[in-house]
Amino acid sequence: MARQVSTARNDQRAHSRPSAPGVATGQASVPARAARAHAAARERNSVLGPMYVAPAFVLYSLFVLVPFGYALYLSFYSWSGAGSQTYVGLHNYAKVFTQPQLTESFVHAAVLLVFFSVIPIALGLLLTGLMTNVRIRGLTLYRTVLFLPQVLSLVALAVVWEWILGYDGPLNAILRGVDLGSLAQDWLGSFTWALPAVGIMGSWVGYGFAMVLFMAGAEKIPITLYNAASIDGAGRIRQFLTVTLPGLRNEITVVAVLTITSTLTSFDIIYVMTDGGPGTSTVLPAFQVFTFAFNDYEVGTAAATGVVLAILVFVIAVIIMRFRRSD
Amino acid sequence: MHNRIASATSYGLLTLGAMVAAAPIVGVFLISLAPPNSAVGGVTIPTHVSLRNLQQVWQEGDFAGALSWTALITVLTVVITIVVAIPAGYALARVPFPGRQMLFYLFVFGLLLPYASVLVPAYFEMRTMGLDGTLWAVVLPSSAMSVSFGVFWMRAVFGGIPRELIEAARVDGAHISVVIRRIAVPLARSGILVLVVLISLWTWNSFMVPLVMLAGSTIQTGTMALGAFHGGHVDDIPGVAASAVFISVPMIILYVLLQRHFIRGMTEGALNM
Repeated sequence: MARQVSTARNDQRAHSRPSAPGVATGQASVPARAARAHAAARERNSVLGPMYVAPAFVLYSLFVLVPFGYALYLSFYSWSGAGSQTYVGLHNYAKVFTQPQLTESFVHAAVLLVFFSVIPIALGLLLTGLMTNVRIRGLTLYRTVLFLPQVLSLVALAVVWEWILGYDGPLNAILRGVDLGSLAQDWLGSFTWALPAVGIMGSWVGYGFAMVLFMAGAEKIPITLYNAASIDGAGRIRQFLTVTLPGLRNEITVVAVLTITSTLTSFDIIYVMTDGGPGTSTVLPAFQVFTFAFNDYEVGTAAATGVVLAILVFVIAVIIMRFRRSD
Repeated sequence: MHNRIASATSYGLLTLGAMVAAAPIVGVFLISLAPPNSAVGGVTIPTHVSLRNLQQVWQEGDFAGALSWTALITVLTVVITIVVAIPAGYALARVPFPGRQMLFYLFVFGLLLPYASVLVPAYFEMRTMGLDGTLWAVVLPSSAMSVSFGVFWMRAVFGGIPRELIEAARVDGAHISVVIRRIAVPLARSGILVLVVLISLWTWNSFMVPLVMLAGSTIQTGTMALGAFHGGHVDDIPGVAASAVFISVPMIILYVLLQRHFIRGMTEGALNM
């Protein structure tokens, strides 16, 4: 395969380079023929291009764009999921911003951002910063293990963490073991601690991803930049701030966008670990979309919540992406 | 000296990080080997190791049935997505036509759109089409979401193939479909494999879509079976652990075999965004 590839490339080069002046001087008919062929190709492309995109576009339209349009429509109606739909104007949107179970779901998401996004990014940067200029043997193995949580279903990970955070679980056992038994409690059953407990699981899921991405990014930073900084008398911290951090700008923005999106749209973890409880202390926007539509039969409110969620994700993503390096 | 300290700290932190990542997963595997319904407290390692718990949960939760449905849904989703994303990705990368950029942005829109925003109307759409409760109610929306990433990814992969290779074939007068099949696809093999791996992973692990689309149906996916078993046996820690093991093992095997592709997909896919 590789050989075939390189021959083709050589043929092409051999063919095109010497012929370029030849075209200009000798054969007058060639440019005309080429132009005609070019026009024909363009015409063919304008038919073939759309034709090749069509199947993907139809599928995508039917089950993503059309339902999103339908969500926009439903967000202006009151509907139980059966029977008649009543136009209610912006009433559903007003509810998203005033009904406590909905407003608090966005507040909870904001709290969880610290755990799902800020902590993984901070841990990833800390480790990457410490590892600069250090050759690590067995990096592949470390990477494989660190990345493992990304491969598993959040439903499975949620039941694992429910066990860890349970009253008789390992976390409390460790606390009792180090004489902090008075702190031991049913973490997910506590109005105060349930949300941070879910957050800790989110940090656990996210930090390996951040580390793997940042370590890969750091490998691409030219060593000469560090040498230059070091000649200028920059210590390790200065090197981190002036070389590593700017060098990882793309990676950091990407991890931020992905972890923020996954916080706002979290469903599996909440459904399995807390069911939004105790009370409504762990409800999140995507979970509320589900609850309003299928438990409370307020489809319009669910649709409006979904639309607000989508807008929020887009706005945040666009803002963060602006920090990317443009190469 | 300085370097040795730095290197020791790095190894120490990396090892700690890896251990914290692995410990909960290893713990669950160990607990699934405890006797059925036994009380598992703290950080103990089960002393009586047996497969009885796994056998019992496998039957009681009908994991054979659930995982078969998941496998079927995953294969169908992957095949549909790949079949439509390859020509679309190629056309968007290599065939200039009016409106191409607009179409590309429409697909990118789906990358960011949370499926939770679409799920409720998609469910009612399925109900209108009479597909709710069938496996197509999961396969079609899953494929449509994957297509968005698939087109985006394949466009980048085909865009990365050296221009000369494709033009050489075009000069020979080969039809576009021949160029795709004979030249572009073979050169993009590893990129396609990454896509297969990622879509398999997402579809296998997805929960919200099947939960909604298959509500009240006889069809149940692996994640749903885990959710149901967990709901009915909250205090049976070895039982719940066993059900988590069942749905995780196939992905762990795939991950161990294709580790490089998983990581490449999830890092490059993200970075190209």
